[in-house]
This record gives sequence, C-alpha cells and structure tokens, in this order.
Amino acid sequence: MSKRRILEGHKQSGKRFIPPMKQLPGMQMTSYVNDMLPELIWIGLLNDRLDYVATARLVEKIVQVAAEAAPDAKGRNYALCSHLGALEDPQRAALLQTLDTEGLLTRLRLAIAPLVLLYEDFPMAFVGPPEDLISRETLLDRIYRAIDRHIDKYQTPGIILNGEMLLTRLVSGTIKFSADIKIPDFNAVLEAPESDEARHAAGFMRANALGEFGMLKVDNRWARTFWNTNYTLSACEFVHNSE
Amino acid sequence: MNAEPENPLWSFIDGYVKNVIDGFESRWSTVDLEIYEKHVHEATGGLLSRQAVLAIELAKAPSIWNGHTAPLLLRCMTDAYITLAWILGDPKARSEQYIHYGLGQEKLFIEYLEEGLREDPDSHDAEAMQQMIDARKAWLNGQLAEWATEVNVGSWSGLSTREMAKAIGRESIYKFAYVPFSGPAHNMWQHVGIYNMDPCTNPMHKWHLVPKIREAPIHPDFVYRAAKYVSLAYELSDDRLGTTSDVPLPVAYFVEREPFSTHSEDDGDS
Repeated sequence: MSKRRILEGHKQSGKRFIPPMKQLPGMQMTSYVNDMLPELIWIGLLNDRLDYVATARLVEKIVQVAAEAAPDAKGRNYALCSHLGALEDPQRAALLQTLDTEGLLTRLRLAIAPLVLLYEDFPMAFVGPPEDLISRETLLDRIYRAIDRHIDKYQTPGIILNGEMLLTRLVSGTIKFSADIKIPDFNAVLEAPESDEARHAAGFMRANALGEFGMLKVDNRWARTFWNTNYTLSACEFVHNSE
Repeated sequence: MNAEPENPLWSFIDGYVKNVIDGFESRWSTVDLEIYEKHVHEATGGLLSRQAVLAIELAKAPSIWNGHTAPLLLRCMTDAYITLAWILGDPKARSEQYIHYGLGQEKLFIEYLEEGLREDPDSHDAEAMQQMIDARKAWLNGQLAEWATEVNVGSWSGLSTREMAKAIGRESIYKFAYVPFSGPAHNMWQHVGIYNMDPCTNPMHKWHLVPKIREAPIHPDFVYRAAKYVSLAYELSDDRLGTTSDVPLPVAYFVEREPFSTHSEDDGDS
C-alpha cells in the first residue's frame, strides 16, 4: 500500500500548493453564505412559516406569473429576490394581482415582512408590508432564526433553499436534462435525509445552484446591504463571556 | 484601620493596562463595520487587538522587563505594526491575503497532525490528537473550505519584512527596532554572545566566553517601547480606518505619570 503524502494531489506553483479542486480550469469561487443566502432567504422565511410543500407551491406560482409577465427575460432565476426585483412596474402589478386573487399575497407578505420592513432596498419590497402590525422584536426574531436555520447548506433547510433554484427552472421550463443524466429523487432529502439517495439529491441541488449562481453574475448590492444591515440590527453574541 | 499604602508601580501598571484596553475598545466601537467583506475588520481588528495584548502582557510582568525576554515581545510588536500598516495600504486584497495565508498554514499543520496519527494510530494520545484535528478542521472550514485552501510556504505578503517596511514608508522601524529585536527572537550570536556569556578575563584562557545563566537588569524602557508601538498602531487605525478616541495614547500615559513621568517637579501645572 502506498503511503499517503502530505498535501497529496496539490500542485506546486512556486511556493504555493494549489488544492486539486482549484486546479480546474475556469474554476470560480461562489459563496453560498455571502452571496446566495441573502438572495434566497425570502424563501427560507416562507419555509419557516408554512412548510416545504406549501412554500414550493407558492414559489411555483410566483415563478409562473413572473415568467409569463416577462417572457423575454429567460435568463432570470426567480428564486433570487434580485431577479424578482428586476420586474417592471406593470409586471409587478400583474404578479401581485394574481397572488391576491389566489389568496396567496397575505401569506407572502406575512412571511417576508422582516425583509420588507427592516431592510433598505430589499428587491422585493414592492410586495408590500402585511396588514397586521408585527412588532420589531418579532420581525428580528424571525429573520434571526431564518438565517440560523438556513446558513448551513449541508443541513436540510439549506439544501431545500438550494433546491429552489432548480425548482424555479423546472417550473419556468428553462432547464432540461439530458436523458443520460440520472436525476435523483429530490423527495429523498425530506423523506429519508440520511439515505444515499438524499445525499445524491442534495449534492445535485447544491451543485446546480452554485453553478448557476456563478454564471448569472448576480449584482451583489443586495447581499452587501443584507449583511451590513444585519450588523446594525442586532448585537454581537459570544460563546464565552469576555468579562 | 489603616489601608495598606498603594504600591506606585502597581498603580501605574493597573492604570496603564486600563488605558491600553480603553484605547482599543473606544476606537473599535467607532469602526464602520463591513460584514459583507468581513475579512477587512477581522484582519485589522485582530492585529490591533494583538498589539494591545502584547503591550498589556509585557506591562503586567515586571520580571520580564529585561533583555532576555522583553525583546521577544517587542520584535513581535514591530512585526505586527509593519503587517497592519502594509495591510491598510490595500485593506480588501491584503486582509484576504493575510487570512488565507494563515488558513493555509493551519491546513498544513492539520496535515502534519494527520500524518502523525496515521504513523502511530495506537499512540496513547491518539484520541486527544483526533479531537485536536477535528477542532482545528472545524475552525478552518468555518472560514474557508479545506478543499479550497491553498498552502503558501513562502512569505504571506510575497515581500520580505524589510520590503513591507519600505513600502509603508517606515524603514526606520525595520532598521532600528525589528532588526535588533530579531537577534534575541532567533537566538542569534549578537544576543547570545552578550546575554548568555560571561567573558573570562584570564589572558591564559584567550579571553574566552563562558556560558552563564545571568540576570539581566530590569528596565522600564522596554515597557515604554511597547507603549510606543501600540500607540503607533492606534494612530494608524485612526488615520486609515477612521477610528477616533478621547483616551490618551499609551505612550503619553507612560511619560505623563509617576513613576516614569518625564516631567520635572517644576513643570507642574499647579
């Protein structure tokens, strides 16, 4: 048996040792936490308030209406709040009208209220605030818990959030898979999260989301605002009391 | 009941330590934090804290205010100052470079630990070693995935310390502080030959030097220098990060208070 070496697989370039994955040509780093999570967290808030299935149905409806309203913008992925924010006023009005008619607008407004009410320049602010008054404390608590639940892309809530990027593509008919690709059973993530099938599905969803997000070159203004605002909304917390 | 008279040295040290802490905390509370690109404040704030801690630890231990030990801390402080100043020349890029270099060093150390464990899996401390590996991996992966972490075995900045000092316009701190304090830090002869040897005066012995464990004189100048370096870092923070503070700089605190006040009695305000 050959002995494993230190930094095996790394390529030496001068005094630097490059890990195997970073040797791939055209390799580009995309940060789920820094850039993707702020774009997807509105769906996370929905997941926290409804359930995964009800959220998926609501997101599907939003994607259908948005895709119909802006048929020329096929490059957009409507799981991303910045892409929904790119809808023009008449398209936004059509979306809100449909959601209202179908009794979904109130649900959406209640769920994403923390983003609409606590942040400047939230791309989906056009959805508007809920009719019910929600205390600032409650709004903060909900966004805090949503970030905490979805920040790990290897845990079920984070996996589901990544999967939404694929779902929206399937709904809008802007993605097709070759017959040669074995599509995993996505339901396994919820039904049997510890199974090999679930791991395969989760990996498939993350890879798809990261790959697409990197290609879309989403403007990072909202991500920057989101994280910087978060710092102003709540105080630091420490595991150890520094006193 | 008579209270015990206060020891003037310890009163000074307590006040000085508080001054350094207040100087750091008041400044950091005025930083306009960027959480999106958090590596800038993590790297610069960490180095500023490091500088303050080194100054505090030296001040709290009068027994090491001597040529054996104090230079180790002072060399570290001059290095921290040069590093901080160089990073602040291009904070976004250089903060990331600094952090990624450190993460690469951590990854390399983890690889060494894992190799050690592979070679001796039944070692008495194998379990503790595995726990240490797991903890270190968690720290590393919490910042940058291991698979994406490069290891750089050269200089973190791509420059020598002298080049960095030159680039920040402070070659003097390199020449007159970093270089002389490097001797004791690296156990070089220019230090060892003086601090660890006693010259034999017997001409029959050709004036050889005899190794001795010698006491080195205590001198507050070492603390003064530390106060100067932490003050330089605070000034740098004010200048480049836009921090502000009403707390006097540590070097001013040092020279204005007994027992090290440089003011003569005639200079008093009263």
